[in-house]
Amino acid sequence: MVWTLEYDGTTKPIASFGVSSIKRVRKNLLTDKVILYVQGNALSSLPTFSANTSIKIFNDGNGWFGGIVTQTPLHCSSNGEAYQYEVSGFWWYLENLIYQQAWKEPIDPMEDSPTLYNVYKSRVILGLDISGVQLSIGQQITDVINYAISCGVNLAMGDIDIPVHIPLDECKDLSCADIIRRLLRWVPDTICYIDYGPSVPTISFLRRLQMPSITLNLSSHVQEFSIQPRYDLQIPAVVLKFETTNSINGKIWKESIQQKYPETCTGSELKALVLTINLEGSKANYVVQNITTAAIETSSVSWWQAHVPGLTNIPASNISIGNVSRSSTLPNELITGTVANWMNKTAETDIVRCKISYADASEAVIDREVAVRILTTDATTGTYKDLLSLTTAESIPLNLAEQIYNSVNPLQYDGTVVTVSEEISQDFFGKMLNIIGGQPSWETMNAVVQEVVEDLDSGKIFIKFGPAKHLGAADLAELTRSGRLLFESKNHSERITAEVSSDGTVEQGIYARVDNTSFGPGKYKMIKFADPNNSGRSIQIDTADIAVSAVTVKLREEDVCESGVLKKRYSLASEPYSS
Amino acid sequence: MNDEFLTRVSFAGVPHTLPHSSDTSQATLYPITPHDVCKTYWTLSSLTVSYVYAINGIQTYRNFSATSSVAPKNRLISPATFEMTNFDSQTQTSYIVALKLDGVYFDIDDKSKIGLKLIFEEADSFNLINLCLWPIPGMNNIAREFTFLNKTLSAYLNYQSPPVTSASFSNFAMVPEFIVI
Repeated sequence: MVWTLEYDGTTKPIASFGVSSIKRVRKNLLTDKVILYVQGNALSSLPTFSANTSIKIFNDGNGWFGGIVTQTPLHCSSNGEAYQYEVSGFWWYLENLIYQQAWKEPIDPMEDSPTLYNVYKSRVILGLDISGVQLSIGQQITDVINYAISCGVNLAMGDIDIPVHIPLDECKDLSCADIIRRLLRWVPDTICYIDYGPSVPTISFLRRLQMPSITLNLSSHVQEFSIQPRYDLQIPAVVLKFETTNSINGKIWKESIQQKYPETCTGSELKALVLTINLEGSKANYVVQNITTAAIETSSVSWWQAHVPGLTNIPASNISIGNVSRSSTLPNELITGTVANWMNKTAETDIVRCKISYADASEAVIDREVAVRILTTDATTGTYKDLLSLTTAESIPLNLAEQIYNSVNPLQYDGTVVTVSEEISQDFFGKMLNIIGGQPSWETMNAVVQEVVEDLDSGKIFIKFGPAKHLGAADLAELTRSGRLLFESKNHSERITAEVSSDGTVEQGIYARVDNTSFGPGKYKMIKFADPNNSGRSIQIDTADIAVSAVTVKLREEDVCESGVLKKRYSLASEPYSS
Repeated sequence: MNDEFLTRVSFAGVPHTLPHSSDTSQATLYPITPHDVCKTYWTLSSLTVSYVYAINGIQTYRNFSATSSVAPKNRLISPATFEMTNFDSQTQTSYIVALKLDGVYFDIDDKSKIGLKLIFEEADSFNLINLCLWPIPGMNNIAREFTFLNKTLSAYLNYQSPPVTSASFSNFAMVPEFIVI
């Protein structure tokens, strides 16, 4: 094998850089690392590889590792001096890049239908794209990787097939790596594998049964090993209790839906995984308006009495109505409630006029013009309702219990293997490990390789396999953290539509009943003033007392002498007439 | 004690029953306001005239009054008359002052201009001298202004020359006195 190293635009045999030792460490969902040792006069020389520079290592011309120099510690001992270079693989970029998602925000929130634009925020909702489509774990991870690529991370998306939908998960200020680990807690049998072979490394996510298998013969190069079946991690059942809190017009109720696998389980079995998951419920706000209307009966004396308070105490038989006119043609009068635009009904002010003649004990009026200002509408008595806002409930992920069960329940083998050979020719990482030469069950154990450490100098390979402890698959308590760390997303509609929570503003009705009566110039026949404390004292002006046919009695100015001083006064007097 | 009263009056401030004439040439006290007319008609209690004149070195002093006893509120029925006539045997002159309130004169185009008939005269038996409120054509005259009811009027000493060789006329005053109610 020919090992070469590309650094600073130059590819040379790795030994020409003074590298005396190479060790590659790969761990699932953690940063791959290569440790290079350069022996020499380290105290007086500059580092061979500068920090934050890129390095690629090739094996027979094939990409074997690539990454960034992240640490350059200097080691000195009686055995000599050496620089140690720690080169981090591309996962390092994902650890150091905060994942952000596009959210919709209005350019001008005051507009009725504002134009929206995308704003990238580190508050993210996992499991939902910006168009409102719920994403599977695989699709969400793809979005994370694409975001990293858009930020300059030199990666390409490889294989990923995790069509598992999860509850919407809102979190903030997490790195791309944290996001991926958070997602994969639901399917802890998944491994992340970066292939450094292509010119642009590919990152793949493979579930246990999607990984290629590799068989290790205990009689060949195995120096030591340990292995144990993890019956203790097997779970008999997965029961997910989805809780939603729904709200309609302030009425709140909770709704619980249970999803379980196997179907026959109850959740009360020992070691059963029972998770309570809050989902955002539906929220709806309606505006409701009760209105009462009545027909407009302008020819009815009682209708006018109901609208003109002054007519209330006059006997209906003493009232006559004529010359009725209206400014509107709408059929009904609004009595109670208001008419708003959302009701899709017409309402307008109507001035209803007529000439009323009436007589009672104190006055007699002929053809008094009366105008009543009312609100007319084509609405009828009833309850009107309109949807003010609606947030649909978050959908329950299908078959999530089954997916968790299938990911956790199969018997897993936990252990380590150390092999030693002259050449490291096999790549165990990203594979299912089976072992022959031991117990028969090991030959099909399909153990997931979680960590591989390869020491090129010694030809030693350290392999660690088993459940992914960092994903919580190691015990029941850790598994339940998937649910405990999950909070219902309260902002998913905001991300899509830029709508913020309603402030309770409801469009008020524009038209409400008006009570407004106008009297026009009346023609009184008689007016009588009475002393309320003495009914025998009264003033009565009655046109019937004027005997002649055409004479007007009115206030007239006249001259008077008051104790020798000339003044004026007004007197009620008629114009002269012939007797 | 004079009682307060209130009565309807004409535009001139006098009872409607009083003659109202539009022939203002009959008025000697013209124009005065309806307010002055009203005050004079209803509350005038006396009219005092005083003056001094000298003819051919003989000086004559006059100071006489005309009064009315008609109470103000009774003037609605009967107007007050202020008239005094006297004869001076020494000077052989008769003198008279009269303010007759039994009629008013008004400008038919401007009813704020009212007139009253005021008479003042002193004349000798030989028509050699005459004191009145207007000059007499053909005679010499001496005019003296006086104020009456806020109006400036003139009184005249008219005389024949000769035989009058010297004449003077001064201190003419006509003072009304009003009842306070």
